[in-house]
Amino acid sequence: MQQSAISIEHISKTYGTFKAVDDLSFEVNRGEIFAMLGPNGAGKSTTIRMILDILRPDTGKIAIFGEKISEELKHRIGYLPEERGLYREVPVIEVMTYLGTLKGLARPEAQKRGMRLLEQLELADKAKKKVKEFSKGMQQKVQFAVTILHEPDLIIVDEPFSGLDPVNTQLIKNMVKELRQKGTAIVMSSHEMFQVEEMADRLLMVNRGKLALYGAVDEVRKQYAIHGIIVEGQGDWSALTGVESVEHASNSRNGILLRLKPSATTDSVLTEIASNHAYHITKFEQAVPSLNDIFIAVAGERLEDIEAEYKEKLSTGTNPVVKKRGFLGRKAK
Amino acid sequence: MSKVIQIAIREYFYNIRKPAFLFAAIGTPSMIVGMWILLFASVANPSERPPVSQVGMVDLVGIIDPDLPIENTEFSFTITSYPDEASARADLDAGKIEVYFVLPSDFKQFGTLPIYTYRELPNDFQYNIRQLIVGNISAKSGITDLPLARLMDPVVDTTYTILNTGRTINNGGIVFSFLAPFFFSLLFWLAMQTTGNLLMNGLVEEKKNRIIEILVTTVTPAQLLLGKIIGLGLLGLTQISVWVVVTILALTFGPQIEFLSGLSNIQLPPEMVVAGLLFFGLGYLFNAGLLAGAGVIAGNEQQSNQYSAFIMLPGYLPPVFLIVEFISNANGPTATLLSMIPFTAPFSMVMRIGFGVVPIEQIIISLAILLVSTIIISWAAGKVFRWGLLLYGKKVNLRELLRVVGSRKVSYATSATLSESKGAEA
Repeated sequence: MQQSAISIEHISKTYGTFKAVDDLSFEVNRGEIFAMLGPNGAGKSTTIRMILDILRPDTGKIAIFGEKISEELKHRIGYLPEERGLYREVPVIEVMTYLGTLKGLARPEAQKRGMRLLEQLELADKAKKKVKEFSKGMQQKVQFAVTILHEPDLIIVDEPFSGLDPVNTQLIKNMVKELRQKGTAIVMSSHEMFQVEEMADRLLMVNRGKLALYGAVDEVRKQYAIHGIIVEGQGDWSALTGVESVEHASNSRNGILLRLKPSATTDSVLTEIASNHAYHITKFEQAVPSLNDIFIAVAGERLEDIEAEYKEKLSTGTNPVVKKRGFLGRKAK
Repeated sequence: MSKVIQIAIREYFYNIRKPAFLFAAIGTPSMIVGMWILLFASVANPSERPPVSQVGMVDLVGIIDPDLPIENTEFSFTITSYPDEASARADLDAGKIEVYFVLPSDFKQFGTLPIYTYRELPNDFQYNIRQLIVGNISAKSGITDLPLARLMDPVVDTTYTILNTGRTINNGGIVFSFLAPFFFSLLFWLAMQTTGNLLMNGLVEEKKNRIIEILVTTVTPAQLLLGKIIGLGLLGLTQISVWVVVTILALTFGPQIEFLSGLSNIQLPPEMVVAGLLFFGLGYLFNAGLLAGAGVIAGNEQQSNQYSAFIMLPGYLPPVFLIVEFISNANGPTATLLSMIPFTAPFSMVMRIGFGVVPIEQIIISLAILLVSTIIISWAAGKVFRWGLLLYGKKVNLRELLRVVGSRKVSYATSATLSESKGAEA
């Protein structure tokens, strides 16, 4: 039987009158990349903080490797927070060693693993340099190395690729895939769906604290598949008998999306095209929606709109009491 | 437990290399010691001015007989007597004499002695004139069985021995015996302040660079706080040990150097060292709790330094400004009260013990008050610490803090929890 890495049952978390997380249930398995998706403010970070025992859920249960969270279990978790940073005035390898020892590694072992990871990340020659001398991208890589230094069985990474250039993004993606192969459970949280789309095995989509969608990425895509095909080529596409409407495919450059009549199948359309010399095709594929499309279909609203609303809420009137008064209750100017 | 040790080790070795610590640990006391040495050197070796040889005298009272031989005087100048100031002044201006003094007609009543000259006089010139006057008076009175030195200064030295402790303070070293407890307390206080500030600024740094986000998923707030307090406490102890060793070396070898011979008068009573360790040790824990709380809610180093001044200065300023009270009346009401208040207790009590004999029950009561306050502060600080650890850039008011301290169970606050719950209340 495959024991799940994280098992969450009906957790809720309310701040004042605001329901940050509302009756959320899901599981994360070992050896899978699990995407946690949703707009900013959807409750992803709150959920992660509850998993890590930083916040306690108001109701519901969380089990890590089948147990309630404990100090020992925390050693088996690696966490890359969204708000990240390292000691700036300290050599990189020392920061890594220190954090490794806090995770229960012996000092020499932590140092050895730190060096090995720096080599993998092509930073070995800079091990003795201070963190502040590193570029932002390099710091990100070191931060990732710290997350996996103690070889955790579960890693939780919040917005893992923010601020990384494409080369380093690929480097980290490859390391994550390697970890998956070793059986590590990986939770990736992101508000940018395309970042995790190609790697994730399963996904959880949250919107306004509620579960919006949950399941295997392929399944979800199939479930929301459009009855249609995407073609590239020449011909009068609307004249085809199986085609209901023709539109530009949103996620391809020259692609044309042919929505099919319920009676038509992909095969029947392909046969029709092939038998008619007036048509030339260079590409023919099943229309698969992007996660973004699916989100819109599921939530009934666009990601950008939700995020804009969230930003506005943050900037206005969030905290009248604390804002207007300083320490000891004096009025701040 | 091993995490606490790891954190303590890290704090110790990280901070011991910091320039701020090195300056406070070595720089400040070096400056104090340097100033002291200068002081000793200038007191012990006054610059010599050339002696005078021709001195004029205008004696309008008729006390001095210039021809009377006076024994045991050290001066070597010749005295010329003038009937009035004008003639003396004429000879001074003509360069026949270098200086003249006047015994005015009301000398017996007021004892004032005007001296006129164009040049700088040797340091002992006034003393010589006094010898002259005392010698003449004693000769006229017929006192012959007392040497001049005893007439000039009948009591040269006193010693008094405090029989409770067996400590002897001699009069010659009285200034130093009084200064020693003060500087001793000051050094302890500096160590406490340095390490307290390192604790606070370390927290501010960890919050600012967000490494705290990783730390809280690895260690509990209690482990973090305890590790820091232990590590930095050991650092403060190191600082004090260095100074104590330096002091002992200075007191042992210093007096062998001529101009530092005054050091032999300084005593470092062992009971003061013990009291210093006890009171400042507890005081460190007391302040560490307050500073940790302040560090956690302060948004930046500037703000945290303001908080630290609020916390640390009350322990230091009153005893320093009221030092005269401590010297003159170590067991008086002011000194006693200050040595009971937890903020001022370490500095005040250690000074009192240095200056006089403090009743043992007062020491015990003060220690007990400090201990209980420390426990209360630690308990409250622990709550504020956990509550504020993940809170960034929020101004916190006192009411909020009291609510946190008063609540039975405290969990991390985040900007989300704070703003939303507050928004709901408002």
